[in-house]
Amino acid sequence: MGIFDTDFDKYTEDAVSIFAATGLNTVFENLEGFPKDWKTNPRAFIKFVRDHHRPSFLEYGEYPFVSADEIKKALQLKAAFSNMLDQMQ
Amino acid sequence: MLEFDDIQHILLTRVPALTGRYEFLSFRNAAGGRDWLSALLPKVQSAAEVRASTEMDNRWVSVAFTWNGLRALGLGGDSLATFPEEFRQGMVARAEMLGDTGRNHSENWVGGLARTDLHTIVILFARDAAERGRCLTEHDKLVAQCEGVEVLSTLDLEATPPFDYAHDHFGYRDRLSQPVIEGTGEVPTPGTGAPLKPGEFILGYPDEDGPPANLPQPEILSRNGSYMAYRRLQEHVGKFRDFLREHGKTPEEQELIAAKLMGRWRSGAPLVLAPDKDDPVLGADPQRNNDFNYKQMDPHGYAVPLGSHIRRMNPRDTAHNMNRRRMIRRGATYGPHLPERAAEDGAERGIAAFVICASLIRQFEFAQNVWVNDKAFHELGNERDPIIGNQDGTLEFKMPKRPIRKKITGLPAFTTVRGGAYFFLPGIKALRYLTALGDASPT
Repeated sequence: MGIFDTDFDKYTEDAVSIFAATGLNTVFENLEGFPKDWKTNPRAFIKFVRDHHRPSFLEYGEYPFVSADEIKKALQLKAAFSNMLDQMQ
Repeated sequence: MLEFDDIQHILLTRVPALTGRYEFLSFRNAAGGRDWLSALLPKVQSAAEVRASTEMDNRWVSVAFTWNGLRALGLGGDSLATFPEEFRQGMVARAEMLGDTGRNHSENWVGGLARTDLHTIVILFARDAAERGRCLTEHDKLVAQCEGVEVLSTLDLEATPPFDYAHDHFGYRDRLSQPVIEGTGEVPTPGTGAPLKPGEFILGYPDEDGPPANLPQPEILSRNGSYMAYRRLQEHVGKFRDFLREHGKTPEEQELIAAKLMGRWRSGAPLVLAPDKDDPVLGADPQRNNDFNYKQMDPHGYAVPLGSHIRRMNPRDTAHNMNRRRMIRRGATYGPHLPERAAEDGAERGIAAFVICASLIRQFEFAQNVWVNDKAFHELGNERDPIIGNQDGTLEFKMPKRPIRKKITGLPAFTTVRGGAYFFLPGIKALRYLTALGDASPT
């Protein structure tokens, strides 16, 4: 889906629509102090997020039927290929 | 229903002007500023007026204000606080978001545009230079009569030859992809997409997400208004042509490099539809020159490189939430034309353009930050927009090609930001409201 690791403001709207589409709104709405009107009040939503966000120590990415080792190998292969193409310029 | 008689014409119409002039003003005195606006108001045409008489008119006037300008006219704090944060801060403060760093930093801007006492812009488009001369003489007289109104700077706009179609100093045909607003009666050209809800561009109307929300108050001030991001972008034509010669052995190869940077041949023909050879007839045909997508027709960028200018500024079917990120572009070229074989003369030339949208952060700033200047856009890594991105000579540009891609390293900056500002473009009634501010709350 998305990791919102840049200026969050720009992505508020994308975040709201993604959260709403996946049913995540129910989780947020049960948080203490979460603005009831968050869908129409982006400023309140941003403020709540800024007041409560923490650095992430773990991120989950879903790659069905592929192991972590296979992903690492694929990334190495991609980098090696890219390097080779550059050397052939 | 759109209130065409209240919406400033620049939002909805293009005028047949070959010259123009922007004047940037400051108000040292609120009453003097309001006197100036009252006198100018009858000359500011609505969309309805321009539609009815474009053929007869010789000049077109628009006016817009910075947040500091609204304050300088005497707008109260309660109302000022209802404007969105990015507009209140102004373009200078948004440098990090916009990529206005290094050579593009506001320290290097000209014309006083980075000053906090920049209050208003008057945009004049004129059919010819004689009419422009007449208008500016009149405006000079008006400024002299109004206490505390000071001209910070001016910029003359000139179309660049050949005059039979709009293009920039690099030679790229312009005005090919423009969103259409629902209710204007305009029919989108093939590939442009369905008309968008007016609230995407005009305050007070439903947008793609629903009814209007969080509008500046009072309603009479925001209704039929919009925001304009102004950018004065110098084009380094000599450097651009040297680059093409350096990377292309034949004129054909040079044209192809120019096309790859943009995503269209300079004739306007899109690379998706004409990948190998220019097709000027296609480029000039509005029924065909915008009729393409990326996901099905060019997913890997063999025709249009993933990092090219048009693929960034309008990713079409390859971006999320696209209808919430469209922008209306207006503006013109400035500075002298540099003939094809002439050496760089050092004169400043470029485009002085406006991006018009209902939300500066959601539309203009998003495009600048994510599409233009994010090095990881489309997973490219180490690339920014080759035409308007913040280039410092360390980035690259990759052109997918069979059997192997072509990669240019150390891409130079072909453009430099020389100034910019955020303006609010009020409706006609809102302008009248501003002229009457002194009556309601004496200053």
